[in-house]
Amino acid sequence: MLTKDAGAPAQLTERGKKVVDAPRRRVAQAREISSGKSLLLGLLGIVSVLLVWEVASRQGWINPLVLSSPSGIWEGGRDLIEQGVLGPALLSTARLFALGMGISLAGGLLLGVIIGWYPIANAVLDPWVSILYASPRIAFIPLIAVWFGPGLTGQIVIVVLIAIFPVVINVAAGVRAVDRDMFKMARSSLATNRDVLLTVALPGAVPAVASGVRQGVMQGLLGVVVAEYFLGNTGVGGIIFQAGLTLRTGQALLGAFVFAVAALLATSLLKAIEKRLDKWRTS
Amino acid sequence: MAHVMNVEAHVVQPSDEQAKHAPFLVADQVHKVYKKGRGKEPLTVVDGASMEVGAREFVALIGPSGCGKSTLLSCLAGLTDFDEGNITLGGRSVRGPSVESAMVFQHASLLPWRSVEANISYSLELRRTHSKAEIRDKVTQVVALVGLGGFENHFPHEISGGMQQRVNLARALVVEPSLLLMDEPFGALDALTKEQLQDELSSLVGEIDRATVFVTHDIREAVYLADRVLVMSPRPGHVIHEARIDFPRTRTREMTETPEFEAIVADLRKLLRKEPHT
Repeated sequence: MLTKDAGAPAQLTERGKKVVDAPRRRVAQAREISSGKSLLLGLLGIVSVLLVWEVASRQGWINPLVLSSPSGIWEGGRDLIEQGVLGPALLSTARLFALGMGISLAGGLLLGVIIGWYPIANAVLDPWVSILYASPRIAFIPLIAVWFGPGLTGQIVIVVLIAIFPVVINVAAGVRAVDRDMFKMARSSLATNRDVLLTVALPGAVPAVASGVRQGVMQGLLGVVVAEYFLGNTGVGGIIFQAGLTLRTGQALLGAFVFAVAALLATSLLKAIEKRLDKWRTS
Repeated sequence: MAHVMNVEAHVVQPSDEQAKHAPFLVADQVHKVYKKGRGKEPLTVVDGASMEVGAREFVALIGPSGCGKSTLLSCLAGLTDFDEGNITLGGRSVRGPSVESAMVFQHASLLPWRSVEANISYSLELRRTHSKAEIRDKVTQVVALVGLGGFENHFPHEISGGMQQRVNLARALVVEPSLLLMDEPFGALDALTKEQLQDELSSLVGEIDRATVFVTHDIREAVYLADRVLVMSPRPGHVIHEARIDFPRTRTREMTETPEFEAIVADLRKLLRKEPHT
């Protein structure tokens, strides 16, 4: 059978007839490149932008006072280290982030579980969560400065106010979404309400909790920057703010670069953790 | 596969043939009405269903889809409240899930973060009546019984649908219930796996040896497995017919090809077809 079929077009050509291709269409192809290639291209992109930037700055195509340059950022960093400013600033920022995030995660998990599990708590607290989450919380900064002072306490309040909501909302949604069939199964296994919370709802909420934590951490970084800009001008945020005011754009960009690296590290770390926690999920 | 479980844990098992059919589970004129949202007519799902199941009897409950057989089973399990009538288990009325009964669900509903072993021990752990060592022993026995040996440490997503249903069955058996309730446990499996699990369940029935109610819409499955088949009317469902299956307890596939078997199946099918939809 197969050989006959394979021979058919050949016979046609022997008889002098043209073999015509079946009508073809450019159908969609999977668009993928290897991860190595993708990484290489990404790096190449960054390096070439830096190169163009540096050349443009040296050639005077752009004003270095406004846009600085890669070497300007490097010098800014060197100056800050020589002045002994960068180290303490990093420490101060890390401390604010750790304290603010610690409170946001602990409080967010607790509040999220309570709101997600107890309908009465949900009914009472959900309006507050919705109102606060929907409102631009940065608008409260002047009030926070009045209520909590311009120091560390006020800064922590800002970070928590910004970071806690993604945690609360994701945890609550995760705890609330108990699989119906699993709930029925647990009931028939004589599970108490507490059993269902501990053995079904909480383990089932792990992916939601992880993504809440990730969003919370991202918002927390934003909160740290905002808090340092507006309350006390401390830490790396303070450096950026002051440098911006005095047109030391290299230093300002260095500060922004520090936050970018921190955010990148935090997301990739949390994504790796999420992936490990997700191993039992089907598909 | 063949390890006998000690079933005399908390219920005295009647031994003689007469006691086998002495009613253990009694449902009397059970009504279940679903009151839907405002403005909608309430829907009567189960309308005066009555049935009895002996302490060591395997009863299959068949009926057209939507007839309320699963709802009735859920009522028997104490998982669904009913509006009228009475259900008793060993003389005590059923209100809420009971320590005496265990349910095998249509969907395995395994906890995906627990291993096979931990899923089986789940229902036993929640009872808080056994030590860890005792739970381990019982799980080991049941694992062997249902043919899950070697899969104890697998996670649900790593095993096939047939294997998942074995875990589902094992989770019910491990608590050694006096009443075993099964809600179309093989309904979602492919034909071959289904037959295999039917064969295995059939050979287990003698060992399980306790009141069992098996809901299915598969007539052949019902006749193959059960001592007695109850037929339900279309919704609102009630039991309209009972057929005693007088084949010996040890069933074989060959039996399903005999004219006697076919005759019973044909009768039941006629019954299911005849009943007008109301």
